[in-house]
Amino acid sequence: MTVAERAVELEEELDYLDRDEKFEWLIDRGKSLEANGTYTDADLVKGCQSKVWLQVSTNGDKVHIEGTSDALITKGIVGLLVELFDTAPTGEVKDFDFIAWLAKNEMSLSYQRMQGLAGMLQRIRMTIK
Amino acid sequence: MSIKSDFPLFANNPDLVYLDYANTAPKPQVVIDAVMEYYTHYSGNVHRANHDVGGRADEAYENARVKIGQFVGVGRDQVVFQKNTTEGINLVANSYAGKHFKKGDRILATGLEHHANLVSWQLLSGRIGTETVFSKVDEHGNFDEKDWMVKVASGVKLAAFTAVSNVTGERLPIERMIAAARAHGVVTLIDAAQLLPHERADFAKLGADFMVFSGHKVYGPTGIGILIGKPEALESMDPWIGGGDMIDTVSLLGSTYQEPPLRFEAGTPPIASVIGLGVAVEYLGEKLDREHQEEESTAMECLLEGLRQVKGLRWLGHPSCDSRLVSFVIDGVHSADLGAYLNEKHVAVRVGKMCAHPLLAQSGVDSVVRASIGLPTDGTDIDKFLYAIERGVTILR
Ligand SMILES: Cc1ncc(COP(=O)(O)O)c(C=O)c1O
Repeated sequence: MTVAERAVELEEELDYLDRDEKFEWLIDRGKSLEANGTYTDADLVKGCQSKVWLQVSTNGDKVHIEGTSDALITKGIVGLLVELFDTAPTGEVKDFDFIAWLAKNEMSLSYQRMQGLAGMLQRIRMTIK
Repeated sequence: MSIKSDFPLFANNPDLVYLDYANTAPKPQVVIDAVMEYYTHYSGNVHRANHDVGGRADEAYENARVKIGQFVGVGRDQVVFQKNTTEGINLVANSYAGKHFKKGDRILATGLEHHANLVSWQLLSGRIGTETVFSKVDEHGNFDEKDWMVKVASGVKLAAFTAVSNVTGERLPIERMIAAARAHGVVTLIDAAQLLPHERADFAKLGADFMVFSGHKVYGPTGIGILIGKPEALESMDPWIGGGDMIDTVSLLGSTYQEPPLRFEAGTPPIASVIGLGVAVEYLGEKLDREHQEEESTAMECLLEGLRQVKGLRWLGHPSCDSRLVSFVIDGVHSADLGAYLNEKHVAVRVGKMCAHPLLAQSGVDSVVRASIGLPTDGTDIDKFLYAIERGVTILR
């Protein structure tokens, strides 16, 4: 599936949810994210209120991404990034505007959280450039 | 009429439950009007205009200085305009301590300080080799008075302390502390940023050498903070901006050594903010009476009682109905998540380390949620806050 197709699949779930339900949906994704890896301080993303560990690598043209967080919302966001981008071609990941996508789906994130998110996206961009 | 109706913030945000007063307070309409009037009717510069518009600005500006002085029981010459509490402390660190102290001299702070009253002294240490020592904090985050009393008698030169902790809400026994410091010839600086929004303080009666506070936390505009000093202490200080080696440049700007407070007020000041603050302290001054204090205490008691019912909730320090803020953590719920959920429910609180990293580290927590109340806080705010906490915990656990 392309990144765009994955996004549409998620949108189909989100379409039915009101603002409160979207918040809980994100929390639930955080709760169910499996984080099996071992993470070190080098994986920590700067600028988050909570701790976020993100590992991004490429294998040929494919992106590999995994991570976790000690807070559920950020963990939910990591989950979304994994769902959208893991195993996808680097070109597609580069072209996908995650922040615009969140906004389009009316996922409200406080300003501070957006800062953390910027760090995560930066990490992805740096690795696949 | 409820106090809330004095504050347009609430009319413009009908759903808002504002519990972040300790961070910054909303502004009453009278303050906003005063700021607006300056810009619309007499927006001249101060101290340097030869025309009527400037003259009006001058009068309003210096009149505000008098009112701000009256608010804390001092004359106008003891009121120095700075940007905020932080800048006021830095001015004392640079121009007082920096001038009178030397390498190896010690400065005493408490383990409860806001970074404003901590980093300023560390910077000074880096510059002239003073040393900063701290009184102990117990495992709950409470001030250790005994330890402080020992340290203040150990030959320190200056004691800088917060009157009310911005993390635990504890009010320190500043009267006893100042008396002890004076008995040992120790210069005192009170960080009154969290005290003055809730309690009257008479600087002359307290007997401290310096006191600082921020306009924006006492219902005034941002961009204006106040340093109060004893006349002889202020008199002994050199200007900070353009001081020291740069004295030639300063005289090129036409600024020979003025008397305090103007000596420390180089450049065009935030005129509108000063005028707004003059009105704010008048507004607050009228409300710092027993009746309003009891209302705040009742709101605080309801808040604490509600939080006591939350399973796994632990607060820092020992907040009581006399406190005006409480910081807490809840087992199994990340503060960042709870803060985000509260925001979803239009409840504004502070989340994080509260600019007091050492205190949080000492209490063994990474980040906390802080709820703080103010004059407009009512029972509905507390109910909505507690309901949101209860729902949030259910979802986030
Ligand atoms: C105790 C205390 N001191 C100093 C400050 C710093 O105030 P400002 O940011 O206005 O300089 C604060 C602000 O939160 C505070 O709570």
